[in-house]
Amino acid sequence: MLTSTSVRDPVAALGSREVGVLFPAFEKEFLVRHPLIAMKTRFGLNTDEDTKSSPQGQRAPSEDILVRLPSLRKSKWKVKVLQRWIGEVEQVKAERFVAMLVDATNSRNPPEQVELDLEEVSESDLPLLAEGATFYWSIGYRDTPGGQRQRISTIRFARHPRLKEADVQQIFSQADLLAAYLQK
Amino acid sequence: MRTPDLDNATIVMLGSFNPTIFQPRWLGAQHLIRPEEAESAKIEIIRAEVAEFSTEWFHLQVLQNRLALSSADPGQYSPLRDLAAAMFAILSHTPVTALGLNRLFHFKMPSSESWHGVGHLLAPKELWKPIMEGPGLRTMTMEGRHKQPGGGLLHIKVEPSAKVEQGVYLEINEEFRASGDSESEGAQWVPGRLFQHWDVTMKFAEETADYLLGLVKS
Repeated sequence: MLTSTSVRDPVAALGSREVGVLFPAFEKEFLVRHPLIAMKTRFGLNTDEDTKSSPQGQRAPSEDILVRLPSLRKSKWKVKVLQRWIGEVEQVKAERFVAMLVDATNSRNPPEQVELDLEEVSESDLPLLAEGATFYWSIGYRDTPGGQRQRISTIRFARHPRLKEADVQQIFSQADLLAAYLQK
Repeated sequence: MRTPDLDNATIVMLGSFNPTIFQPRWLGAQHLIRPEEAESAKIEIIRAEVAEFSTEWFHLQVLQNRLALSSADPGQYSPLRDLAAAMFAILSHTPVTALGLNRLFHFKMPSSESWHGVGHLLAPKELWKPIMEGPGLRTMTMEGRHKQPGGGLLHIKVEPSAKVEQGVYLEINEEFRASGDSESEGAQWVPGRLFQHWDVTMKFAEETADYLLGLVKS
């Protein structure tokens, strides 16, 4: 846990006002060195983390020296997704591809067929572009650490482990057996 | 769903891991991430005891007994599931004893009254006033089973946000345990569970947030 150097009495600060929540102290500008136990906690070495499948919650990352803590909200890019689709490629043309989209934001919307420009696909995803390939498409806003809001459209093709040669052979063998059985 | 100020999805696994395997270049060599992502990943530490690095869209921390894969980009939550499933389709003999699907939200409440209202609603103060001055909710975790057949064990945590002023932190965890002997079963059960439950858990988390915050008058 972060430890504030300016200790305040939370009860005194409340006065006579009734509160629903006790807010964690926000005076985090100056921090003191973590005790060793806190560092161990970060890596789950001495707590019951090994029995918990939950993440480390809103525990702040370790700052084990006297530092000014950067604003947690401004230290990272923030993405707000407006719409998400899951697409399946149906046809690849010279400069475009046809896909069927399922609305992942609102599953009540019917699937729709779209034609997208190949330019929309990241270069390193192009080898994955083939009939039957799955991709994830989202549009939304991204707020940069500098405060700039950008409108973004992101397409990422699903990546799955490549089958080993032995697995491929086994699949073909099973297919041959099945075909032979059906021809009888 | 109401829009959170911060949104995060995390896949946590418990078991016995070899952290040094989990390097960006290994993921790149297995074609599980883009080559450029493997090259540009920001490595915090890679040692026998711990591996930790991040790319533009996910963060991975692996200890010898725990793995956590997370993303703060809701547009990448499906690829996050695919990545976790693919890693353990390859490392299918890795003993994994538990799988946790997690969604973390920070919501800024519209008013001080509604913010305190969350605490009043979930932890009425009348019970505590005889023994405390100024009682307030710091943290609450509820545990229960998912109503959906085949669902896991749910933990729903509510706290005041430490990251968003006048905010509420919600953590929804659904946990699945290996059914048999994890040594022999390895991680073979993990990809199936991920594909079966990930979208359901993510949707459930959004509905839970809407439900809980909807109970409070704004």
